[in-house]
Amino acid sequence: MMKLMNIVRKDVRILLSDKKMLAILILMPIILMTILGSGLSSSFQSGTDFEQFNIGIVREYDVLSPQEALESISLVEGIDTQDIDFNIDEVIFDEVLKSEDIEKLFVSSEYLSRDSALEALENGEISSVVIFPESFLKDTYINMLTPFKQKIKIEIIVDPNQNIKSQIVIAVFSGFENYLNHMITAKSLFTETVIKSGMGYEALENLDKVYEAFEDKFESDINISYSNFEAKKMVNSMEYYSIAMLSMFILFTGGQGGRMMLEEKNQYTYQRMSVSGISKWQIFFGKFITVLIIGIVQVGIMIAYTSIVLKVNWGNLINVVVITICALLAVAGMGGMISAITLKTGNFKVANLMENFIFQIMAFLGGSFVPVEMLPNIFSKISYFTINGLALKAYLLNMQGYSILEYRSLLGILLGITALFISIGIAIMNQEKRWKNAEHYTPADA
Amino acid sequence: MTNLLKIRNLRKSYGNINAVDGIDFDVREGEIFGLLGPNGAGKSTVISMISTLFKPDSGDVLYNDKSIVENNRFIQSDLGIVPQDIALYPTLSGLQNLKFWGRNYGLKGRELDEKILGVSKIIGIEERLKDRVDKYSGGMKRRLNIGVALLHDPKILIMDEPTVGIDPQSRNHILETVKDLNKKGMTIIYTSHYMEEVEFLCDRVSIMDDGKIIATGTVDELIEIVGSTFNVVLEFNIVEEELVQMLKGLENVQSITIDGDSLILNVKENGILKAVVDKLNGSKYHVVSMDVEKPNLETVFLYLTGKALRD
Ligand SMILES: Nc1ncnc2c1ncn2[C@@H]1O[C@H](COP(=O)(O)OP(=O)(O)OP(=O)(O)O)[C@@H](O)[C@H]1O
Ligand SMILES: [Mg+2]
Repeated sequence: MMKLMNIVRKDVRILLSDKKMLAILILMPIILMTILGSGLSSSFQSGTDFEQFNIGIVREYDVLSPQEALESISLVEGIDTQDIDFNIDEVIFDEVLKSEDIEKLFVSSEYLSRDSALEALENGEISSVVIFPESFLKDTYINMLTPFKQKIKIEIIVDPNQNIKSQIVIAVFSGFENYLNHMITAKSLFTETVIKSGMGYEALENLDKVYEAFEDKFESDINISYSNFEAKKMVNSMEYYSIAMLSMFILFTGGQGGRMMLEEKNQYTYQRMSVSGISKWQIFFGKFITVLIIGIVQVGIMIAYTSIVLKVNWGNLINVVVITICALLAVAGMGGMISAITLKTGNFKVANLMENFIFQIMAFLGGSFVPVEMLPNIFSKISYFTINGLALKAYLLNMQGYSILEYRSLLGILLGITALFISIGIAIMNQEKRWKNAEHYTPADA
Repeated sequence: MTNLLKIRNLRKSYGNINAVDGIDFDVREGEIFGLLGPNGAGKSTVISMISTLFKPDSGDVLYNDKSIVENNRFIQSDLGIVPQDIALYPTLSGLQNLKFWGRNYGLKGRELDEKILGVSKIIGIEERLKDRVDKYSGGMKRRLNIGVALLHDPKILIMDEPTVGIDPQSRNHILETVKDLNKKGMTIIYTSHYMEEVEFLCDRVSIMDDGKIIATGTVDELIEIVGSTFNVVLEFNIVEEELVQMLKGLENVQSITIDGDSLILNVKENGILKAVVDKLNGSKYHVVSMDVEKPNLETVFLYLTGKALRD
């Protein structure tokens, strides 16, 4: 045990002495978080293909023509309703929602009741529900055609896990506000913005701001209220990228396990340890623990930085610690496995392959570059096979205020991955006869 | 003196290379035992088996009559090993390296600090202890590489070519250190392909070539093998196979080794120059210079193998 501690202390020292590696493990993610989060990185995100999604519409009002609508409220004379050939219901359903531009974004299907729509939302069939209230049509006509003003409420219920999609839906429907108040073209400014932006992530960020700006500009009579499903917090891009970068960069810390192991072998310290009576298990678990410790330092710094400087609220801190430990165990398990493979193969190939290829793929699949919800559905399933994807989801859910019970399965998978990787590592180390590790090099003789 | 280590019919091959091909020797308590041989003779492979890094294919190594092949714990804590390749952490300081390796042998606290102080005096790097090892000179790294092996006061110190590639000053320092340690009672196994080092240091020597031990004894005993023969080094204007053939027939010439523009003639009696000059009279060959070497381990190696020890 004392020897193991000694090895770990030495390994940590060695990693800390490598300034370049420290920069990659700690400085780089911090910089990326800041840049991506502030939406400055246009080249990184723009042009991402966007997957069309489904939303549900509920009409709680009776469909009436303007004449009927106005008649039904027996309006004061003076308004010639005969001249009006303008049907707000048609505009919304046939022009706007069926427009090509909107359909690039999402397809709306109508649900007969609020409950059936919410059920579909819960099942993940749709990512938002837009509810037009009973008085919507009537009130709109009143607002449009009479001096009276009625408060109109369009209700939007979103899935908090579908952050970006929610923002789109909110942005588009808030466009109606503008439309209904100012009678500009059916294509709202918002939709245009969304389309023109090529669906870059930062454009979506901007939408949010535009939306806010509009709210200020036009004193709204139509109040679009949005809440999300279960009233959870929405995550902004700064928060998203803080989580995404953190979950990606801990992978690289895992990769260090392999690197250190091969260095030990190449600089003959592995052999020297062997002859001094240190078992290969002490060396193996030394690497595991080292990765764990470096990971804790790394995550600690990142969370501190994002909380203090970027004002990211990570949610319940105890849960953050639990998620971090589960994720780092998986990462360290992977590090141990890579180091066992590296020792066996005797070269950096595996470690390099992991770093240059597999980590990138994992980072992508796990949603560290682009939120998986923006990708085809299959990716969202694949992300469950990546350490960073699991960690990312868990951090996100915690940030949104879910209780740990709701994502315990993610943590369970992470612990399962840990067990799997360690077992593979142990199996490989077990085959490895110590005296075969000691490669001989003919000295560079004088 | 008791035999601390007994090496019995030890074998190890890499594929079809018989790196160590059935060797036997004993190391006595308190002596400096030399293993002399050219590059690739198998010295490091022997050392690796004694230090329990590799298992032999067959044969045994007995330490205090217990097989370390069966249980390597018998020897590990009594053994200090200075590997041929520098085995240190380059990005850590000398002090951090010494601390790490010391703790590996169970040293701690004040005892560890004292040992480190003592060892750094012996190897003469006290002033540079706090510097990173990758900022050390080659000689300093070599010395630290030795220092690491001394921390736990080993009974046996195995040094595998500890002076390779360093300046004469560091080299002398190391040789003196080895002598001193031995005087204090440490048993030392020293491998080298420099016969001067082995002659200077070792009580007894095994000469190794091609995986086999070809002679064992004290330096004097070994030199006696060649009896009164000595080496005559003759430099010629040109050296060709024809020349070698012409000289081979000469009386008293036991072997001829080509060494660049020179031939090394191992001869029994003096007066060879006259015989050579007579023989070459009228041919295109003539002697440019001549040198006579007293018999030494080099001569012994040449005599036994027909090859020069160093290439
Ligand atoms: N890991 C290995 N794989 C294959 N062959 C090896 C290996 N290690 C050593 N050898 C071969 O075994 C033979 C003995 O090597 P060894 O290193 O023991 O010689 P040495 O006497 O220590 O030489 P040197 O003076 O150059 O250090 C050489 O032919 C070498 O090429
Ligand atoms: Mg060697």
